[in-house]
Amino acid sequence: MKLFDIARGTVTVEIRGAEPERVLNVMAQKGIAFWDTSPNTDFCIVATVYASDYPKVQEQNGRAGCEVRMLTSSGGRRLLRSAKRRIALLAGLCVCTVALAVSSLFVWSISVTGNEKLSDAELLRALEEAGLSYGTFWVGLDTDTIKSKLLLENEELSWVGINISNSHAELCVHERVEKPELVSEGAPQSIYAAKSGVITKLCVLEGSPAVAPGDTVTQGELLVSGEMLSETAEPRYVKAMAQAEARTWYELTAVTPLYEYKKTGEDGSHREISLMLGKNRINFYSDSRNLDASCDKINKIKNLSIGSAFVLPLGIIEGSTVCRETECRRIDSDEAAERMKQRLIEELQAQIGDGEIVSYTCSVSESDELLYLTLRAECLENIAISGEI
Amino acid sequence: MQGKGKKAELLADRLEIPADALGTPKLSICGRRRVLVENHCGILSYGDTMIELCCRDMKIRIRGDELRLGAMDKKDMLISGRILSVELE
Repeated sequence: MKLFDIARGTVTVEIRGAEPERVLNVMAQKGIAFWDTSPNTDFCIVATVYASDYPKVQEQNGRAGCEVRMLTSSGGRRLLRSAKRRIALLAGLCVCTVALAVSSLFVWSISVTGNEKLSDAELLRALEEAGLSYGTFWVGLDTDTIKSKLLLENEELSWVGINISNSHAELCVHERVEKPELVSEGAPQSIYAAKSGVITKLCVLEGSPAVAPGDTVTQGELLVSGEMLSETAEPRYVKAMAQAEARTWYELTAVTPLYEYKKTGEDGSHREISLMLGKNRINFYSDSRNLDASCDKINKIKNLSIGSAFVLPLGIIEGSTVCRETECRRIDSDEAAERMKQRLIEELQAQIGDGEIVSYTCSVSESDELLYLTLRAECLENIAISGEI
Repeated sequence: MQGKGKKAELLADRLEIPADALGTPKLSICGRRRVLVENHCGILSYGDTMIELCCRDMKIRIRGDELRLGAMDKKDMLISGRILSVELE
């Protein structure tokens, strides 16, 4: 609306007299739009009208005992007159507008969402091969064909969606979930020991038990058989179902170096600027390699855009390289041992699933500038696993 | 004027049509900040704390703080500000 007002031009008028409200009434009667009216103070009201309506307002000058005069004028013809003196500026503005309109027909930024197994780079490469990449003219682009190509070429994907909004393309993917191994419900099966241990509890729902609580079993040993023997008839085969809780023992070891290299003070830094023009990159420096291993290089890419939709094919890459001094230090053994112990307990818990760690001991040793931590634990867990008879 | 307004209201009652369709003033108050007056006949006084309107056979006085005439045309008027009271006379 403001832009429309500027284009039409507005005039601020001062109505001064005994009853300036009467002029407002006349303006309303004549259909003259007015706004930003100030209250009547000292027999004076200030209002804003369109420049084209000003002559009609001016007609009221001297009528109803009121004096109407212009205070300020802006926009409209006045703007046009001043613009005539700035042809170059106007031409530049027009060129920019046209360039912006044309560039919005090309894809200048692509975002990928929904991927976990596949990396962004892999998906962007696949998308490029399917026909959508930086600088692609998106008007008339057949996204259905691109989606089909992506799904055909990448077996890991189960669903693909492509949303293009001006210069920005969004690739949404759903990765395929591996189908679990299907076992027939009625197929005869036996229960075996998944790990070695001492059976503490055996709860058999179906099948014939081959071991009893207190027995020591090794990995892969039969716990419950699916073959049901009968003295009077042929053996019957069933799907054995049981829970076998057993005491198991684990020994896990973690290693960490006793000395570490740590970056300390700043030894020097320098900045590199590049201009990104569409797919091309113009470097304003000679060598971009990070020659020193002790230097950190961070690149920040800033794309020029208007809002989130209008992304321009222009950008600045600011690279900063900071070189640091490195110092070899001995690590705190206790702290490192505690950290490794926590990591090993987490790893053990992941191995036993719903099982319980009953007790554990840790031993720490040092050799060849390495710190070793060994965790020995006793656990209580379900070791039953189904398998073919 | 007074007789004409009353006649219009009576006729609207008889015909069971909205009275404002026959030119009776209609006030719509939206919260404390806005008042829309339909079928007004003009503004009588316009001040920061009071706006007085003429509406066929009555006067409407709106009192408040920082009152402003938001928009106005031949029939309707929008007043904004902190409305304290609306008086009919």
